[in-house]
Amino acid sequence: MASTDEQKIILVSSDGVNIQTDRIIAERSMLIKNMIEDLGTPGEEPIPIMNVSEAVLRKVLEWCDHHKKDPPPEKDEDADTRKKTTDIEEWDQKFMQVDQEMLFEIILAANYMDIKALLDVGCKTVANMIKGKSPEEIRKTFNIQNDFTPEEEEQIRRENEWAEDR
Amino acid sequence: MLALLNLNLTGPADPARLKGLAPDVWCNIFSYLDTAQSIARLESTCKSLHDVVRTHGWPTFVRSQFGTLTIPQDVKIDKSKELAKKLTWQSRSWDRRAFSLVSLGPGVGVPVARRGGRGRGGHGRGRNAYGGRHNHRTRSNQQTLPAHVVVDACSSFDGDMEAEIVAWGLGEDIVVRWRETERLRLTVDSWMTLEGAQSSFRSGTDDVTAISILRNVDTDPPLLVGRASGDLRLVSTSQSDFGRVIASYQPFRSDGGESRMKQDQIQYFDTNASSSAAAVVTKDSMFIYPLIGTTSNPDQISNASEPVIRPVEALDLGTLKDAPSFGSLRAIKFMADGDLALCAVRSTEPVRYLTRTPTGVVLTNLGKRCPSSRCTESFVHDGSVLQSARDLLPVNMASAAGASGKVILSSYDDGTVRLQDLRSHAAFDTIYQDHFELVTPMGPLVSHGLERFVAGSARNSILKIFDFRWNRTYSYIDAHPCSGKPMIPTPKSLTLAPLPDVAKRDACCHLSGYPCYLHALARTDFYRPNCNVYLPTINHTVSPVYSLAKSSDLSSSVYAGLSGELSRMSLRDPVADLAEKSWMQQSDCKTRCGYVFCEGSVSIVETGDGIALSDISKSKRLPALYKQNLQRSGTVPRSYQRLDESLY
Repeated sequence: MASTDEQKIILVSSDGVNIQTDRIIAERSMLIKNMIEDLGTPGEEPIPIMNVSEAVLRKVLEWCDHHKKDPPPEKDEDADTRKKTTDIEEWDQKFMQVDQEMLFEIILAANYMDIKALLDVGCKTVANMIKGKSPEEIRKTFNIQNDFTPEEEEQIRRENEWAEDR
Repeated sequence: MLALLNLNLTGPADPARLKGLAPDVWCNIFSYLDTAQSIARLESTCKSLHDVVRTHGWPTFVRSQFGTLTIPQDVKIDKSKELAKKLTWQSRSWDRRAFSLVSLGPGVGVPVARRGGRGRGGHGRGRNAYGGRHNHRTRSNQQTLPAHVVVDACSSFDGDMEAEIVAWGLGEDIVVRWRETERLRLTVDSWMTLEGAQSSFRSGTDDVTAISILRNVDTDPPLLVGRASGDLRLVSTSQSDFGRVIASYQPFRSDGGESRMKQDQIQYFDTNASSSAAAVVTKDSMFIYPLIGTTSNPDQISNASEPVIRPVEALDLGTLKDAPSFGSLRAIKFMADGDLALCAVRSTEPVRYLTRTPTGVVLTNLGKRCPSSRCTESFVHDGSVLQSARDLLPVNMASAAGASGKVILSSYDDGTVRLQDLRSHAAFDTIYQDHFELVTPMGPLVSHGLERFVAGSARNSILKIFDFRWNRTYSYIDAHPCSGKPMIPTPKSLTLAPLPDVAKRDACCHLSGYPCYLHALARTDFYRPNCNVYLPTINHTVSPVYSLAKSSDLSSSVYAGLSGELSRMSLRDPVADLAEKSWMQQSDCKTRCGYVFCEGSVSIVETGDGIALSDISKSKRLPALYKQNLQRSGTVPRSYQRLDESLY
């Protein structure tokens, strides 16, 4: 049996395209890691990734490739207690320079494929897009329709006035 | 900036995209939004995001930004926004030193002129308004020095409602104040006193030396009161039988044999989190008592006369083998895991730990001597120096990554406060020191989460506010518009600390995480110096801070027990402060057990980052002083103010 580092596996995207990759890269995804462990025959059977299209899957694997040497995520880490920083490392910043459609696809894929670190980078990117913007700018950024009546809007504005300088 | 533009310009996403994210993805996003402003603005974009923010946004914001505070677990989802409002207000007020001070002292209805020759002509305000306690009461057993106040406070919150109980002992008397506010309106303010003389307690010998309101008791939490005579009892605070003795606590009355274990002069006690046990120290001994009520024994309660409870553990620490000698014990505290920490004066091992095992109590002296890298400079210890520790405060580090339930702060006579993780190899993880009054002994301690702690001076009526210098999450300045200019006023360093060197950007680039000059500076220790707050006293006496109490992390008041009076430092809320003041003016001081209510104004000095210095000569000792002027507060321009407008 080849060492885990060099093992190849085949992933199948939702649109039926086979993508070959290294096992070590694919195992950044806890979903794939668990599937390989359950199947017990790595490399032989293609692994279907139901909810992720080819383009997104390739993009996700690009991220996994770059981060394959990262230390594995700590198991007991509690989402609320880990140190929060909104800094994104430079490579990841460039990686996230995609259109919004792709950004949300990556977030959804990271969530589905259980890649915590990629999900965090995606969420940080969305949070950073919200920061410092007025409601109108947020609507514009994310193409959101304002479905409040002017009265409702005014009421919410008054209710949230305290938050403006905090 | 370019990246941001790219994102804005490229492909208008399907509007359903953002809204269609799973709740846990939303929570992840919310955890990176560090201002209430961002959350509130997202809430007002559209109906579906409004709902997402309501159910997930505010609760996540509170958890991720105020994770080190102890917040009641049962806060309902719809109250999370109210909680966020309160917590951000508190954080901002602490940061900007927006305080208000009130002194409460036993006055008399008729103003009494100060007696005696030592005129304080220069200090005009209120000079003749209030007589000292010794001026209006004559006692057979008159004490030369005014008695000091020992205080405890506890509170509960339910959205807009806040109920607080403050109990303090002054001499042999006890006063309890119940206060309830609803939407800043004072709805209940009732006072009751338990005069010691009525229970034939004498002034001096029976003075209250320790007091504690038992938490986690549903209604009318009883009071545990310890006295200089060694008397220790649990007293009811319910309005119907106020002052009834529920139980008293004494070691075995020796019928000849064990006379050694005398419980005299109670120094300090602490109750555990569930209020089921109390640990008591006298000058040389420790007792652990089961507390009645929570671990109630029906036989004892039905008994007509009050039951006498015996200790489950009694230990004469002076006679223990291998224990270095000490002058006297000062404080004892339960740690989160049920172990005990205690401190003593004049000992080479001023802080010790006790582990309760089925076979008895095991004493551990802390042998670890090497300081951590953060304080190698300041900590030189040869193990033979006698040190005195005055107070202890277990710190709940459960929320900090990798920390244990065994972290404790201790205050020392050498002017330092030391933070110690018992599991780490370093003896002292951080040593704090006021850079202005470097060697003034530190007294009692209270904390506000892992954000800051307050130490009372053991010499003067000064509260010293320290930042833990931990990684802070929330900073109110983040919601202020970006700027290439620093906050004003510029802090004045007491040491030769240079201005922080950060890049001068005019605006934050959120995508890359590079902050603007203002936001970058606002997070530096230099721009968040500690401060000392001077408490004005009614009697103009010089008094150490004898005790401190803060009811919870949601409470915005710190109570300080001084000589002959109680001082309250609160976060300044002009509406609530005015409401309380006018209520006090309307009501008769008789309803307040004869106590006068006296507003004071804040003077603060800024004292640097508070990390201990290797050499006290590194401090120039010329701090910036700010004096509060409440009249002027409306006229200050609302630029980026580092300090509250009343301090300008």
